Amino acid sequence: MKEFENYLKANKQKLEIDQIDESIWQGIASQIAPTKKRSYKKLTCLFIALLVLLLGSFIFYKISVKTETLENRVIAQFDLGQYNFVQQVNYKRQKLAKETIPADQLERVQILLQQLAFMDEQFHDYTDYIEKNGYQKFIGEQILNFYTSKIELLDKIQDEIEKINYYEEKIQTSTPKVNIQI
Amino acid sequence: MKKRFRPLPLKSIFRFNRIVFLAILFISNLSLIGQTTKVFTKEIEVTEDVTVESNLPSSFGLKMNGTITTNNTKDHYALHGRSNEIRVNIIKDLNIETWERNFVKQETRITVRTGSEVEDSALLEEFKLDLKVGADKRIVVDCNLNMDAFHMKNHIFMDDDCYVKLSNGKRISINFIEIETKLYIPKSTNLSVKGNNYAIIRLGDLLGDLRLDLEYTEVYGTKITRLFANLENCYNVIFQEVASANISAVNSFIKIENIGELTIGESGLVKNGTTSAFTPSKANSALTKYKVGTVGLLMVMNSDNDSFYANEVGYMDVKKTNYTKFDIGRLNVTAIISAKNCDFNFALVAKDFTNIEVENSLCDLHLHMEDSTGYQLQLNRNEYIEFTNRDSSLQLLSNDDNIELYQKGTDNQKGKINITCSRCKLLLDGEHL
Repeated sequence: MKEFENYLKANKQKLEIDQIDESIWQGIASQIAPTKKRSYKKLTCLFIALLVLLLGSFIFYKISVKTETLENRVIAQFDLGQYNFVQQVNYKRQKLAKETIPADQLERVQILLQQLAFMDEQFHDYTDYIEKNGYQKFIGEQILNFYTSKIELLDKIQDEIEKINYYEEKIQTSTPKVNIQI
Repeated sequence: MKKRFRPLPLKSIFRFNRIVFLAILFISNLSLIGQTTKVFTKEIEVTEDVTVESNLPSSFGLKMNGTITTNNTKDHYALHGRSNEIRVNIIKDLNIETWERNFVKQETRITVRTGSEVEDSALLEEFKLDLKVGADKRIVVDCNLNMDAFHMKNHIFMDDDCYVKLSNGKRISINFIEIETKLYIPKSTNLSVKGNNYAIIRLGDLLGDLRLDLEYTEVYGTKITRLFANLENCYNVIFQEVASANISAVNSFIKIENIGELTIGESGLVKNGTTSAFTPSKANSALTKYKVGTVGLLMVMNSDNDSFYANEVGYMDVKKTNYTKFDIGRLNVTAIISAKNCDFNFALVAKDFTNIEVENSLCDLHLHMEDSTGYQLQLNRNEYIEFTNRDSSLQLLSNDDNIELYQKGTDNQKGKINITCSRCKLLLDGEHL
């Protein structure tokens, strides 16, 4: 052990690292991207925005799931599944959403679109009733009538759009076409 | 030692089950024991010009707090409390019989259950049947007598606490109530019924005026002289015969076998005494199906997207309508039509018709003329018309600046058709002369 100590003492100068040129350190430092001070404020804002977004999506999801499940529950409860009402309504709506008509005809179609909005409100009356009073055969009959009327209305809108476009094609006006915004 | 299983003789099982069954029946009917029924009847003499105004059996207030279940069937509307015990039972039918006597009679049967028979009787004494002719010759009928509301509350630590609130503000505890009302009115009287809850009105022949302001209600009537109706979501409104009707309706179904004069959408839809803002469009009649056997005069004042089916129409005057579909089995005399986006199908135009005037756009028109019908047709091609003529006897007389004149038969034949249309399909059917 003593021999090793003596060796170290004797070779102290050799074992010490040479002084490194300061310019090397400066070169390395210049290549490294300058560390920015992280803004606490920005992080908080980002976090809050993310939270709001998440919360919003969650609420939207919950509402849509609730509405959908309530509608499906209502359909199932009254044995209305056999008529495929929800599927029919969704299909017809999707089809209508893709339709375009000449811009000058849009106002006239609004009469029918307002009726569709009215029908949607009506369904809330039924679901409110069911939520308050539970499922009942009587309200099931009302819902059957409701869906029949609603599907007829959607068919009517589709027919009218086809009619408008048929004549538009025959007359060939240059009126720009717009989406019916369903 | 092995124990041998010996089944019970069938007889004893049956006897045992019978006892259990009777016991269950007894327990389940315990709730019915002790209830008291009283029939309230009042009859007053009236003159012909009185108006009877009635609400519906479901018109009283229901204030609930806690666990409540309901049972709403075609015939009754029942409310159950926490232990599923029935607390209110409303018989939904309002039967209105009409008779030759000059008397209005109300018959209301009320069944109650409180704590005891004495209390039942005391409660029933509080109900008053008030039926009298007012200064304006109106008789107001309350199907629920002087009961303003039924209150019920319960929670996890408390069973149902129910009371009825009377019109004088008095509150009386109760366990159960059932109400049923029947009316008898003279045939000649006027009748008005208002209500917005699920109910069924059954009505006899009426020579006076009938006014209906209803929502979610079914009406079944026989012969009515004059009908004024504001209807919303009334899926079945059915009459056998009406002399004259003025109807504003939304999302309803109306069926009348024979009608003298029918006016659709003349006045705004009335809701709770005021013209409703909650309508699907600006029209006074919308989304309603009218199914009529024979109608003498049909007038459509303001309608959007209704459907109208009639076997036979005498005169037809359509003032304003959008998207309504008309399907007429037979048109006898005239049709004056001002419409937009409305399809008309006249399956048969009678030989003696005098005039058909149509102003329409974006529509399909179909006229099938009766055999051997002579007539003149003026076609004003406003924008674009696809005219399909299947009547080979129809001759083109002139064609002048988008106005085409056709004739079938001789000049002195009176029937005239004048069609002004843009973006239409016109189909004319007819046989050779």
